[in-house]
Amino acid sequence: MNYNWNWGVLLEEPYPQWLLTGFLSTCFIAICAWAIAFTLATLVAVARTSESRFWRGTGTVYVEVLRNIPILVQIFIWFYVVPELLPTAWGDWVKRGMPYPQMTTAILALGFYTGAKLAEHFRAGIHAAGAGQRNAAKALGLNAFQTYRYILLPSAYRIVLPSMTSEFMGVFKNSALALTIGVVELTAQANQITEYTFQPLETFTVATLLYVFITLVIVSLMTWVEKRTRVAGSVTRT
Amino acid sequence: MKPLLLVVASVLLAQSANAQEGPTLSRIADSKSLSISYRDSAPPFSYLDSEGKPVGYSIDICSKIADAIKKELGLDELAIKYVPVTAQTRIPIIANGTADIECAATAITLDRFRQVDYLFPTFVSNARLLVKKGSGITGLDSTAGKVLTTLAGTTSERALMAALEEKGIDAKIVKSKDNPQGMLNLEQGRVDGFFSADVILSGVRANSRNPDDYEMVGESLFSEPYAFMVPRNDPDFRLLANRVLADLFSSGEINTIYKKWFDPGVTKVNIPMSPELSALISAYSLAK
Repeated sequence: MNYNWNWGVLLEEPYPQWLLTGFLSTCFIAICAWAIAFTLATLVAVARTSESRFWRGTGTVYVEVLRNIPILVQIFIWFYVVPELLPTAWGDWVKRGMPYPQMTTAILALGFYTGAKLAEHFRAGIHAAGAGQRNAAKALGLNAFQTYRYILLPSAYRIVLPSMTSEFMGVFKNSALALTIGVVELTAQANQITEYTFQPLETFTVATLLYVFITLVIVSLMTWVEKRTRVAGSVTRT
Repeated sequence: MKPLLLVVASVLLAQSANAQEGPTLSRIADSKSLSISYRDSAPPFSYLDSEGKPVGYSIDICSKIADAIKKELGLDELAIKYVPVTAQTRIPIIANGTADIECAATAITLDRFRQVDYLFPTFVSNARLLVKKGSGITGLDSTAGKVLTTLAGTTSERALMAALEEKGIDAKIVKSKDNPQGMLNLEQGRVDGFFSADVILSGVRANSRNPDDYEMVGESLFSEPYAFMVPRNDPDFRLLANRVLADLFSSGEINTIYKKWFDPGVTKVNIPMSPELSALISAYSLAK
């Protein structure tokens, strides 16, 4: 291959700075989206396992719509279609007035999408906690809120921690799609450095290593959380 | 981690082994085929026609180069393979020998010479500002407090940021991923101006819903030459291709090809030949 390797180029100003801001944007988008997703998923999972037919239906519609449309399409819809459907003044605010329109839209879109996927994990966790627990809570005189808050959700979160880890990594990787609406995160910065330097192989190698670094941190973090929150006797380890 | 490193290392080694292969012309002679890389949405330089075949100004010029290669090597037939590339893949594709020549629209910059060589320039673009008619913007000087967009990572972006800083104009820059998106941002009123090469702006304006609502304003901020990329350090191949270009330039045939694609051109870009390009063409009409 007739390629001139030049790793040093990535140390030339301003490229380290670009990679760093890209890395931080990626982390910022993913963590904000995760906070939205976690909150939403909890609400939706509760709705989907509640005794009210209306709330179960609403939860199901949310999950099926949001997780069945590719995230890329959703980002485009939120960014380009939704503002046009709003009244003009609102639409203008969304396009110009709101702080960082691209980044905000990307975080919301990613949060809603991940929330739908995560809700299914939480629902599975609530089911796994078992009808016995629910009935026992009822028998003790706990109301619906207390049943979920003190009995069902704490068990459900612990049960689904391993699959939650995958979703948490997924949100970091999916955050790269934000570049399609002009958010300059890690992958976009790598693209940009490539255009300036014509050294794509070095640039993308470093970007890859940064993504690997993020996922390794998540794995260790979640393993630690798993250990910390383990209830003695509730999980059998081999 | 270790297995991953091994895989990466073996891939790199395998590719450097290929580097022993001879220069471009002997590879073409052996395989009796020429690989041309192109951008599939860079009208009128290279794009796909309604039948999905690559066409355009650059493709036309490249087919002349292909004819010359066939004659020079004395081949009965020369198959042409088209390899679509993106801004990110165009360099490795030339560097690793997947393609022998890139026939699209790549600006010449000094840093890029570290990876590839260029033929003589075949186009000169001028960077301008596209705005909605009646927006009150008459050039970069009247963009204070406005929002502008430009393509992330392009030479236009660098020029725009430098010009705004130099003139002390406080305009916000929003980045767009590609040309249709830059136009969409302008159409939807997310931005007040789209800064890019004139040829790109004409193209996206022609394809917009209401081309008459938009106009290009202001002086050209900078101009830059476009040229075809070829593998680095292959003087024989480069000379053969440059010979074809010099012939096209001195015979005036380039004007016919230019008119076909740009003036007004099948894609309605409507850009008459700029003084910069005619000057380059006469300068590169080299003697045999």
